[in-house]
Amino acid sequence: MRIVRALFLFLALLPLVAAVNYHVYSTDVGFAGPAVIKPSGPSGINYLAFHVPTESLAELTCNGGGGRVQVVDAFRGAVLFNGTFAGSSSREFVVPREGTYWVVYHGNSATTCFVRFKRNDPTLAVQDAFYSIGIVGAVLYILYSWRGRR
Amino acid sequence: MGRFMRLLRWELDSPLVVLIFFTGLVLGFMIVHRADLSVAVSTGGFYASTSGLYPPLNASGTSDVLQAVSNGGYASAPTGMVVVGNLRVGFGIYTFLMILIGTLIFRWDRDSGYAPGIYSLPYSKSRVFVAKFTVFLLLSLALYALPYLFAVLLSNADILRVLLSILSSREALKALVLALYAILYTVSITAFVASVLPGLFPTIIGAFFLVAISTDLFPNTLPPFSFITVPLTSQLSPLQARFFVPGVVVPAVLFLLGVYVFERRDVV
Repeated sequence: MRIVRALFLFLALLPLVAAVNYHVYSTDVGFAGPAVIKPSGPSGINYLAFHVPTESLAELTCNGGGGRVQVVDAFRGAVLFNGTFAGSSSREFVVPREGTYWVVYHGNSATTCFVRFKRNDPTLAVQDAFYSIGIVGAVLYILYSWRGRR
Repeated sequence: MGRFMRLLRWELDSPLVVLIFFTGLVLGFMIVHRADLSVAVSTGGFYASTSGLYPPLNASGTSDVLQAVSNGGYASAPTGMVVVGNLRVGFGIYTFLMILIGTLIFRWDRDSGYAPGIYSLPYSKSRVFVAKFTVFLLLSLALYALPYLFAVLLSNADILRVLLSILSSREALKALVLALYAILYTVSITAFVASVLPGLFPTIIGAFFLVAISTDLFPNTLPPFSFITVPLTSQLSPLQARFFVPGVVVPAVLFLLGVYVFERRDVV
């Protein structure tokens, strides 16, 4: 049936369409903040949370206050970045995969933080997922058309 | 039931309908995937004194931050906001393509002149209508669901486990049910208009008019776009009368009216 072939062709085209979208997005610069982050302490936790859709190079800029800034991977439970500063700081780190990340601050007075995301590219797992679906779709399309021809 | 299935298969095999469906899949995937590629931000805090859920931090703080993160729930995280928000993306193009698909399913056979060949077969006209409506609804649901599934699941392949818990959250289910209402409304409006108006182009224009006054003029009050634009607050329930009536009752009435009109009208 034509509808089945259309579905398989759609699957086969997915990597191409996604590649175009990722190519356009890779040069975009994303922003999180600026946001005032109060120091976390015994009374509770304050955070700036951001979601990135790809692997990105992040530039974390904090102004005011002083102490320790941490970036935590919310879904894997790992500390990505850990740095101390006094007054102001600008550091770079790599956001390894898509997901939610928290910027948490331990210090004496509130700080204002700002994150910039550059060089956004899909991770290997995402690329593998897209290419696998594309290959499966193309093979199914060929098999289905071949079967119909006989 | 075999004869009815044959009718369904025959309707599904219409080349023009499949072409529009395929175009819609690719276009919808582009739109949803592009919307998925965006940075989302939220700020907030957890306070031990008010909620009592989160233990006070120790001197190093790290382990307790991780505990607070894991207790926070995924749907309210910025990733959850993006994933749930994408359930409502693309309806501008989906409704338009649904109208085209429905018009072709209901009117193309009559306008191109092979309808007498179908309606002289031993099927009652209402059964033909039900078959056409079923195919139309199936295609519309697939047109909405497949681009979303592939765009969101594949581009978040690293965090699939989290994604499943987001998609089974209350917010996602609300957005999903409201989107289904919007699809039901658009499909039944198009089917009804197609069985009332003469010809293919009057049907396109008529159905498009009814949907477009919701898109551009009253997106917050008129269905189908009121389902898409309403904020997903915690008080909102899809079973409230203001959603249930235009989302389920009106489509059911339009469907029955469509069957009646279709049965009574002559084919050509």
